[in-house]
Amino acid sequence: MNAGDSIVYVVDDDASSRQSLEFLIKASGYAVRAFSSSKDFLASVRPEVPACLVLDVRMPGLTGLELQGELAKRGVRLPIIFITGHGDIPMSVQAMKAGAMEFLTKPFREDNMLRAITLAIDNDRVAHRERLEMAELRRRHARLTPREREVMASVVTGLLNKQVAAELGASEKTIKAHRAKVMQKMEAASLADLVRMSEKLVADA
Amino acid sequence: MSIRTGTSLRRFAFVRYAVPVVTVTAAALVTLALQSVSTHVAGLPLLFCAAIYSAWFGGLGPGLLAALLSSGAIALNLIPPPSPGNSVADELPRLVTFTIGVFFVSWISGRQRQAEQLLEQAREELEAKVRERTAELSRANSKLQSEIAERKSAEQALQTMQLELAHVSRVTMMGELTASIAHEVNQPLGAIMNYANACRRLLASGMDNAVKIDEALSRIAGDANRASDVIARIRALSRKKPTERATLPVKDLIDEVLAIARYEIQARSVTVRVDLAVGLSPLHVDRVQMQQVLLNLVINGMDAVEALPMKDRVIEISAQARDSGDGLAVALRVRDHGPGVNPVEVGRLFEAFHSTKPQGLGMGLPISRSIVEAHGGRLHLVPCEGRGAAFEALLPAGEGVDA
Repeated sequence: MNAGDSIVYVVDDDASSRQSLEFLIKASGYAVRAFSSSKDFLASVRPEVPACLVLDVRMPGLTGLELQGELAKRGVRLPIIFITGHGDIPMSVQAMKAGAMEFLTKPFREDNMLRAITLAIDNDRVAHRERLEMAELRRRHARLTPREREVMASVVTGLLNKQVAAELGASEKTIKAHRAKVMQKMEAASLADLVRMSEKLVADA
Repeated sequence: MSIRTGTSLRRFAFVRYAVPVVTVTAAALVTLALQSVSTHVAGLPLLFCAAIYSAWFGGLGPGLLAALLSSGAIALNLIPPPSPGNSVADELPRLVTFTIGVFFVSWISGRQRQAEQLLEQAREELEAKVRERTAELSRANSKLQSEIAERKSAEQALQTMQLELAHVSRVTMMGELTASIAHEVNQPLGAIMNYANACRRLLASGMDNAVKIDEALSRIAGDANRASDVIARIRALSRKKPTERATLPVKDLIDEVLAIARYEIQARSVTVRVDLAVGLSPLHVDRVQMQQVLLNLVINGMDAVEALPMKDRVIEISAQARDSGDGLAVALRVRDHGPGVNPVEVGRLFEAFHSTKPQGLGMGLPISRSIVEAHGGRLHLVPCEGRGAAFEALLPAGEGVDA
């Protein structure tokens, strides 16, 4: 029972399948939010917590595979456990290639399902920490003035204050003040720390 | 009867020639007996009577024989002449007139006998013909009877055959729906498994989860019911049973068919639109057979739209009240937006074993039509606007109004 603050999302159009799954996962100690269609799931507001998605492959409207594509397009990285009534090999290959965690055929063994959920949540917990860190970095970066961002961008390339000043057409003293502000606002302990943060921000953009 | 006896006796020449001998002898004896009493009794009249009778009875031969015998009797003086003293020569003219009379009577009686014989012959021929005709009629009658029996048994055989065929085609159709059926049963089974496993976990946790477990158990019961409903529906469809008509609301018919084909419809990403007129009369039909007809039309529709882009895979099912000409009818129509029916194929659509599908048996439409017609309805391809094909079953409406 390592649920903690995590959430398992279930998307399945079949009522009895969805409800029973919700019941089973809840009985294992996870918080569950169930949806009867991909559209409802996409429209939902989801808190930033470790989570995973248990997704039926075949549904009217947006199918499970289509929802997977749509989430990737939107940059939502949520581990997905697919469930299907028929073990269709090409379909499962496609799903796994697109990054699915697991592909289970109904009726599945509950240990397989719960193991997959635990693994997915654990994976997402790491990702979740990174997501939090990124969000924090973005928040800090957002606090910088445009001038400070320019200074930060130049500083992290390894330029000295004098060189930065020449590049931006300002005095060395001004640049030094901006640089101190950047270090403070970004809560960077050292230049190396700031460089690492900058790399992450660039990679995320 | 007496005539017939007389004519049958006349057939024998022996009888015919015996008659003049007997009658002339009798006349002579009677005459002699009478003359012994009175000498005034004439000899000829009785002999004449005997000769006329013989001629009438036996014809010319016996008549002449009688005349000859009479003449002989007179000539030999067996019978004394009426006026004593007259010689045989004196009696000659009398004998000649006597003989001419006998000839005449013989001729007339011969003609009469000939006519009688012809009549008799005609009657016998008629009777024979009547007997023959009667025999012919009774033969024809028994032939007719056996033909009627034969036709009846042929009709029964046809009906049985149609039931068998409908059954085979139903089972074949269900073969196409195997995935759908498996899914419909699997879904509640999977749910039951989930609830059961959840219950085990709840029990193992050692906490008081009685309320949750109770909830899970009642859901298990619900899902078990769902699975058994699916199986009951499938069994009803796959069973072979005699036609049994009952009241069936059109909406129920459509809902049940869509429930059977639901998974197939989803798997093939087909959109089914249903348009039911308000206040429709229910049908009075065999439920299973009518499901078969509609299911067949829906599967055909799905096959027709299969190759189209997903947004165009649409089937429309509609039901409307219609005046069929001989009473109120329900027009049940299935329309797809596929490529439509090739004009070349239109004439062969309802032909048995004619199919445009690679795996098709070519039994679906002909059997559907025979089912609809057995219900007193009609099944046709009807023209529709735009792309696609529309099939319409016109079914006589039952009593009342759909709920």
